[in-house]
Amino acid sequence: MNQQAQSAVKPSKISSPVIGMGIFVFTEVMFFLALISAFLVIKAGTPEWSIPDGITLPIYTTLFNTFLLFLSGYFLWNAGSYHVKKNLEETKSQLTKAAVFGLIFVGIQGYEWIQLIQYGMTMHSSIFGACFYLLIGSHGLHALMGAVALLYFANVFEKTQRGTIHALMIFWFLVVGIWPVLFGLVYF
Amino acid sequence: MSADSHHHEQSFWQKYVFSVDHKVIALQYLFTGLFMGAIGGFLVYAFRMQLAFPGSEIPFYGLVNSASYNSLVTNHGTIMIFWFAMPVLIAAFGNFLIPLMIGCDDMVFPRLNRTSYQVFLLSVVVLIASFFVPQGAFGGAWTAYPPLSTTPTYSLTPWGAILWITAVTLELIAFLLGGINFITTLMNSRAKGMKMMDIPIVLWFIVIASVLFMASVGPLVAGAIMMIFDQTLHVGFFDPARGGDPILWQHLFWFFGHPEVYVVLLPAMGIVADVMCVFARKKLFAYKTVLYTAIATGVLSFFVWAHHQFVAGIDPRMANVFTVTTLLISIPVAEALFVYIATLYGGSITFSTPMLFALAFLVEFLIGGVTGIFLGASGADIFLHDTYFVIAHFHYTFVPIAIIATFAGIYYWFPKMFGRMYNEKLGKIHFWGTVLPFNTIFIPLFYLGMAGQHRRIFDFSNFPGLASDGYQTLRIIATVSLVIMILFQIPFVINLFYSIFYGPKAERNPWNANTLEWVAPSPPPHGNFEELPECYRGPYEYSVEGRELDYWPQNEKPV
Repeated sequence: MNQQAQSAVKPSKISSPVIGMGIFVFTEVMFFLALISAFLVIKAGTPEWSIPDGITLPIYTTLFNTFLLFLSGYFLWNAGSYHVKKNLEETKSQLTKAAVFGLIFVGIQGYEWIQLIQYGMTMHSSIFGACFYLLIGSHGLHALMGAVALLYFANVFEKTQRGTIHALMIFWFLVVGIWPVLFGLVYF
Repeated sequence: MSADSHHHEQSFWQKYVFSVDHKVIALQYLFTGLFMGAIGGFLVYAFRMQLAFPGSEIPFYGLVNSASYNSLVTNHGTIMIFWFAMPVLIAAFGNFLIPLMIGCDDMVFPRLNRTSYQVFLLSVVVLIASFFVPQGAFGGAWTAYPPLSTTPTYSLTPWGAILWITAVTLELIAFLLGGINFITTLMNSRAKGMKMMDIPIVLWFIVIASVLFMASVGPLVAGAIMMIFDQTLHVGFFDPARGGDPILWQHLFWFFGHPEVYVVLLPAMGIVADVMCVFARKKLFAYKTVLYTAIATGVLSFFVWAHHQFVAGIDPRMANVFTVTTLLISIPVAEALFVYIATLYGGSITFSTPMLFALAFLVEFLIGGVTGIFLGASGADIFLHDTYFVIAHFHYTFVPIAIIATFAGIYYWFPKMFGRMYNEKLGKIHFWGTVLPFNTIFIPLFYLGMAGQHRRIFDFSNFPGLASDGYQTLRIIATVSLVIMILFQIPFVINLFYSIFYGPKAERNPWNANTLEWVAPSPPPHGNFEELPECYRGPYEYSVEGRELDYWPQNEKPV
């Protein structure tokens, strides 16, 4: 963004978008850690912590969905290595794949949510529902934003600096990496 | 910003409203912050008058009832910390000083910087709007403990509460964007030759403060989201009847809230360090020690938060641990103060307005720090908790930080910000009129607090034990001092606006200082420097033996 004007300045080894995103992701990690500890505190304070009667969480679907999210992360990793090799065509295709799998992940989750709400599990129905939607929803929102950003940059990445692509990767790896933790914590 | 855009003619809107120039954004933050500070000052005037003269009609305000008293106290606290101290100390000084002092032309992410201010302005609008909704602005104290803050039947301000927490969240997001910019810019845009230990302390401190802010803000945003759900959908994250936990909010709030103290303290200490070195013509004593104590303070500040909760029913064993960490954190801060005093020793001191404010910071902050020891010890805190002793203690820390050090910074960098000199005489009147009444406001409150006066009472005439004449006299002394202190801000406002337009023109380097911002023209044009400076030495080479001049600019080529 401000690169030309800084050419007189000794270039740093790490590009600015990567540092900026790194700091942001650090903040995000603290945000999710706070949500996780809030979840654990509330869970510990509730004598009989259980999923409300008549509701089964779709564990197998979500397990499959987790696999899709990992796949998306894998494609993004590939996109990164193709980008380093300056193979623009493959980069674009891998970026698009990563974005599409990310969007499928969000879509399947949205479908699950509609079903859960139809079964009567809302944020207001029980403290479990509240925590479920808070934690999974926070992650879902990040996944949605990340996937849309991936799709956008898949189309404009030729004009984008390498640092920006790396910054995007850092964000998406946060989304992918934190998911198993939330999944294991909330669904089981 | 590419280099050729410097020559574009900019319209008024581009130049002053939607600017991406770090200096304009800094001044936007400065003036918005000062405006909010004036509002915060008006609120404290209204409720202090009620405390001194209960039930009487207050000039310019009217009657204060119990509900409006709560709103006044809550918003005074919130505004002074989130909308005055933060924007002025971190955002204004950070934005103005970082690119200039490291010798580059702008922030790394100028558009992110503009977004930061716009989100901040939105938060200001939301907060001010909360005064005009049915039942008025939020009245659940600036700490917003549930269930008071989440249950409308307790706080009596259902709309105000939601707007308040929304405004706070927006404000935090604004500073998050700013913080990313500060840290990245300091890492990546330093002038050629500027090594880690050549960075002026004020920049180190602003950036360490930004790191602290980044590390602590996530939990409060998480808590704020949960609180918004509790207020709107009555979800019950903090409601024990629904399976939630009210103490959880206190942990989330203070995990942010205590590092926040150091987020504003560090920039203030940085400003004082730079001002002192220039007006004492001395090298900063033990630069590395100052830096490392700041880092130690920052790390420790994440392990002290529960000292706000000694009476909240936390495990006494945990209280012991937090007492120890709280007392530990006074060590690096005390060390920094000693180092500052050592810097002054043997210096050739000029008592200019910025220097007076900087010296006052040391004296007043010391009192704030020492009284903190009593509150940090869990045993003493059980007696003193929620009394005026606490109020006096944290005002003895926050006023030196947010008011005294801020004024030191504003006067010191005034020539660079506006290209003109301020009036020294008005500045000194302002100094004495601010610092002396400040002490006579809060010393009486220490006594009232030790006498057991609780901080959340709006009319002491209902409490015979606290309504005696002696106590009431102390309250009146405090209130009258406050009014005097507010009146003495008028010379500042006159000085500020008169000098911006009619003050004598300032040269590039009126203080004979070393750091790179004084290499640029006053005020620096868009793009800051005619030619980007190079850095050859540390920022505090004053009175170096064998040199004709008593200063040695960082950009001066070695012979």
